[in-house]
Amino acid sequence: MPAIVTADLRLNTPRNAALPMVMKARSKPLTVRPAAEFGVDLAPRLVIEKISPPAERVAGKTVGSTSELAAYIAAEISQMEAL
Amino acid sequence: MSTLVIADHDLGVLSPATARVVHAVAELGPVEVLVIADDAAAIAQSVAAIAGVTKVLTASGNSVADSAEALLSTLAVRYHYVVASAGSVGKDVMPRLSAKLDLMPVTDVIEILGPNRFVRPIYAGNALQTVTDNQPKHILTIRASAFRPAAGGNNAPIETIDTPVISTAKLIAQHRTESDTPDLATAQIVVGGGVALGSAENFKLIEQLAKKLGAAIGATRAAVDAGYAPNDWQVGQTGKIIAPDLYIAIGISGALQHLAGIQGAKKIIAINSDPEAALVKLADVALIGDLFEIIPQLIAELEKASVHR
Ligand SMILES: Cc1cc2nc3c(=O)[nH]c(=O)nc-3n(C[C@H](O)[C@H](O)[C@H](O)COP(=O)(O)OP(=O)(O)OC[C@H]3O[C@@H](n4cnc5c(N)ncnc54)[C@H](O)[C@@H]3O)c2cc1C
Repeated sequence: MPAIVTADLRLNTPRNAALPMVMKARSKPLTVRPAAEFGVDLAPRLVIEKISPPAERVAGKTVGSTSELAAYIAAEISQMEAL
Repeated sequence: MSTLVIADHDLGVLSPATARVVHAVAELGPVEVLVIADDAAAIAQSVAAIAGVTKVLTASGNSVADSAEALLSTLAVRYHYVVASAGSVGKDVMPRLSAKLDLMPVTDVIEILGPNRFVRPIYAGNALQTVTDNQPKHILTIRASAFRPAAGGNNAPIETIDTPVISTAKLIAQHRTESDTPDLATAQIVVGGGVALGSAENFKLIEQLAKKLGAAIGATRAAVDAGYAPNDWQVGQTGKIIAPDLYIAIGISGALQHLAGIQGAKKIIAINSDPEAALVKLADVALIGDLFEIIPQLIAELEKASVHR
């Protein structure tokens, strides 16, 4: 029975093909066959209306000490809890 | 024009993502929710309480992708939309279902503009794409963190489906990261650590701060690859997508692949020794310095200010 397996990216270290192998691979025959031959319709089903950039973040500030940072965190948390 | 949502659950408990997905699709019509689980009864109760749910369906069995898809392809005839969160179950089941029904799914939806118009991120979040889906039926996965959860207080009827959920795959065992911190994908606060922590032992500093703030723990891929943090803490393009109210990034440079996972964060704090780090430039608030000095101090300061959740 055929099986499809996906793996976590840390499963193993990839074995990169050495240059001579890459050169050899280039000379292998490559057959192009029309998708229609396989009886599949590859026409896109979704219409792309537009592509836009995501909202930009406004520039922030640097604080000088951990106590300032702690105060900022405390303020953020009380705002969160007020909602 | 009704909608079927597939409930997300883990260890017999409904995941917070489901209430968000229900809220996301509420405007599309009545929402029914399917729970596939070995013991679906308790989960179904939690689902029934979500506002906007008109009916809960339960099927007994394990929701391994092939079994869920077989059940869903029979159920799908009744619905105009079949929806799941864009978590690992949704990413597993929905492509199969789409192929079976010969439909193209719209994945990772972050905004619903109308009955057949959806917005989704592409190129790892570097652009947003608006699509119109003119197919007779819509298969969607929803990025739960982009939506607010629906309220509770409902008491929707629960109905059992007798179709057995059979799979060719058998679950042998699960190996989990034990953690009592909140779910990373839907947490309000996330504390993330990078490879700068230097060891799994040092990474406990991140955990201490996270505990103090009732936050979930995140990590960069570099930290995970180095074995400082478990796989399921990874945030980014190849990890989890998060959208907390507050993200505290510690010893993280801000590589594009990491940023892809945090674009939905409302406020970002960066702690880094390098004032030129990308994440420092992007943060709402940055503190420049050595994390090994800063974290213990910060925990002490928060203690002093009696900040805890
Ligand atoms: C296909 C692909 C997918 C990827 N997917 C992901 C992903 O999903 N998530 C992800 O995170 N990455 C991902 N990456 C990896 C990404 O490119 C970066 O390598 C990674 O995010 C860097 O992690 P880091 O910030 O921990 O490490 P670094 O980039 O090494 O940054 C460490 C930071 O810590 C700071 N620092 C050092 N010492 C201290 C100290 N004592 N105190 C304070 N600050 C200090 C440094 O100034 C630096 O900014 C992916 C890469 C590829 C190619």
